[in-house]
Amino acid sequence: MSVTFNLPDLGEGLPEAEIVSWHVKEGQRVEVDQPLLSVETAKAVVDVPSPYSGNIVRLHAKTGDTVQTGRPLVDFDLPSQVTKATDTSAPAQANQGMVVGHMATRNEELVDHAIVGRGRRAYRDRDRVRAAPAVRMLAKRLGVELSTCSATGRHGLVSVDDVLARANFGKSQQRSPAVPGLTDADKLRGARKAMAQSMSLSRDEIAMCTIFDDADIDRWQDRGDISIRLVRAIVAGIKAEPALNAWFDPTGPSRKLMEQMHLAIAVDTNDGLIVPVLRDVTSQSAAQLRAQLDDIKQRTRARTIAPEEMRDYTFTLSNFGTVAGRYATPLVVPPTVAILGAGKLQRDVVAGAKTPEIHVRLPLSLTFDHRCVTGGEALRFLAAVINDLQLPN
Amino acid sequence: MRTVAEFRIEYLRHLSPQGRPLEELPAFAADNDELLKMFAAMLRARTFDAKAVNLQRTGKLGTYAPCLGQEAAHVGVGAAMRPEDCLAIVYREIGTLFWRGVSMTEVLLYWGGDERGNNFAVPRHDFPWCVPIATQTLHAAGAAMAFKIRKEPRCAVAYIGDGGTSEGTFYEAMNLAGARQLPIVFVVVNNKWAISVPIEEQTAAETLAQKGIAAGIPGVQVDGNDVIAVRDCMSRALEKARNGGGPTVVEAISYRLSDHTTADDASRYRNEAEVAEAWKVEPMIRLRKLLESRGVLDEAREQAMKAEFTREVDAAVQEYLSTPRQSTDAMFDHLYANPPPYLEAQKELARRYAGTGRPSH
Ligand SMILES: Cc1ncc(C[n+]2csc(CCOP(=O)(O)OP(=O)(O)O)c2C)c(N)n1
Ligand SMILES: [Mg+2]
Repeated sequence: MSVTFNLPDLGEGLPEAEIVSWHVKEGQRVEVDQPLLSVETAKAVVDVPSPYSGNIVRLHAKTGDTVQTGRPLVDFDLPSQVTKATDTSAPAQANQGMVVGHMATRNEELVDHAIVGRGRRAYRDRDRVRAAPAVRMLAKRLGVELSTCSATGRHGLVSVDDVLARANFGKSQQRSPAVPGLTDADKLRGARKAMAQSMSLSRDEIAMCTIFDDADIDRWQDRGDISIRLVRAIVAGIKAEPALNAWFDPTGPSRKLMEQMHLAIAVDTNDGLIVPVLRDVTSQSAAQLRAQLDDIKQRTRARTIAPEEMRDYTFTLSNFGTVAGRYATPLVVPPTVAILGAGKLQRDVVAGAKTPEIHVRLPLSLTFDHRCVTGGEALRFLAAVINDLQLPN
Repeated sequence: MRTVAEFRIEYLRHLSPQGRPLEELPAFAADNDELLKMFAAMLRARTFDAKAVNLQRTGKLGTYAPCLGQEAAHVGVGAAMRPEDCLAIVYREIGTLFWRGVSMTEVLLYWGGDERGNNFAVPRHDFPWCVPIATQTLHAAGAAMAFKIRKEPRCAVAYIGDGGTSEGTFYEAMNLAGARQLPIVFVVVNNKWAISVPIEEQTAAETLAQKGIAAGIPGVQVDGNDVIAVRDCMSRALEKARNGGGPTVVEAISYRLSDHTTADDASRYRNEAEVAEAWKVEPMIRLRKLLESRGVLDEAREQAMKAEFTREVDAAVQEYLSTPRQSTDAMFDHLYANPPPYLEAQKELARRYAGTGRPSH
């Protein structure tokens, strides 16, 4: 009779393994405990022995392939009587007896490290759904997407009842209507997918509040380097009000004021929004900042920027006005707490001492996370930014 | 200035790595049957060990901590203890467990996540498996205290690893044992590694045996790959404890020839040459050579033993795999005589979860 041996969990909750080499061939006869193949998991390279004595009918994967835990590895043809009791790996389900913790598939568990705008918390969107391993397993068995369950358990955990409720909920009531006829080619990838995820996260988590104002830069002595002036103004803003250069963790809730300032700069590219980071902006001269900025922008557009260069920022600047648009409500990405948007330069009629005058003004939009930043803090920050921008040089 | 205290640590070895007696052997070593029994116990543990690793690799067992290379330490301790003594194990000491009567099926059940693997049919009074390292020393000290209060001539034995000796728990337990002169032996199995931390990084002390000195407990080092020396040394420590002489720290020096557990890959942090050297002094070799030189063991006899143990292991595997699953209640039932409400609630929750589409085996 024929049985299939599925890849077992070779560590403690490992989702997959890569095949390093096969020690057997199709058609070969093997004895129980004879080495079948070597695989590499996140933890170890291990030899997997044969669970049976019998003939190998089929190898389901090649050297170099990655196999998900619980998926078919080898088909055996066995002499008929020997399968019964030792055969726990043949039925796909029985393997789960030895699964420790949450056996996520790659899609659920691993994070695209080129993701934009994630801040420090690479695992954030997995954290967002909090549930005990047993509940995750239940959801998986019932085919329920955990993120669609309400979380009524203690500490915001998804409970067994939430999963069961969702399972009985019926397919008709999903959150967004399904778009018919989608294929794999329509799936978002890379920066665009990352944007979809980080913006959903932002929408779900943050208590946004946006303030609009303008900096009158008419007294600037030359045309000035707007980007670098904005960086300098943000540094001045943070000196006046450190609360906006912070990371927030709602589970504490806890707030960490950051000593250094790493400034993410939103850059528009054909592939989507990319947010590289200027490091330690408080300790650099204007010329140094300009050089760093040119460098990262150039490499961002060439897509040679490394994922590490897009992580661990503490504040964001979106200089969207180079294209169009006066004000916006830019979105803050956790765990950071604020973002400043700069709109298109305007020639505005303003009230002079006695007569109307025309001044060049820079429109500003500051969004902050009101769970963590007070209105007063945001306003003091913005006032300091404007003061600095309004200096002649 | 004058010296007010000094210490000395003695090292005991009876057999060279090649099986040559180095000095006069203890009396029990004159009895070939007794030595054969110890050899068989080591071979039995090793046979089981290899199968357990394979079961994990084929999805039939959870994480498992092999004992490969430390069989002499474990069997030597088991052979020196009396049935009525009390043992507190960590996760690796099947050689002692088997000697004391724990069944292979029970060991498989434990690593298969079944609570019944903790409920040894024999001996009833030993502590169950306990993965938190060093806690065994306090558990055993408690048992030793009970023996002392009840004036029973029994001893407690606690296992701990080289890594475990860095835990505060160990010092607390030794302090208590020293202060109350408890009938206990702390067996430190120094297998040179605590997962990926080598002994050189673990401590600045020359020996682990000396860690008892500050608690007023004598310490002794023994070649942990020499089962005769381990048994001898352990017997003396136990006899002393049983006669009111107080505790001892026994450091058995051995080597972890396997990965830390089946979830580990030691080749990532340990060099092959070191492991190859350790294989040359592994514990089966020297006892095999001694027994061969006495004409009571040969290749054929060893193969026959091995075949018998393989059959025994296979039967245990069958029994384990055909044991019906426990209900989820089992993981709550043995924690408290009167469980607190939050655990009752969890138990209820687990029952409801277990009732939803979960395959039974
Ligand atoms: C109290 C506690 N802390 C940490 C661990 C995690 N842990 C498991 S094994 C181990 C290393 C133990 O090394 P050692 O005491 O030398 O024992 P060995 O595994 O070598 O037998 C650690 C730190 C644990 N089980 N218990
Ligand atoms: Mg160790």
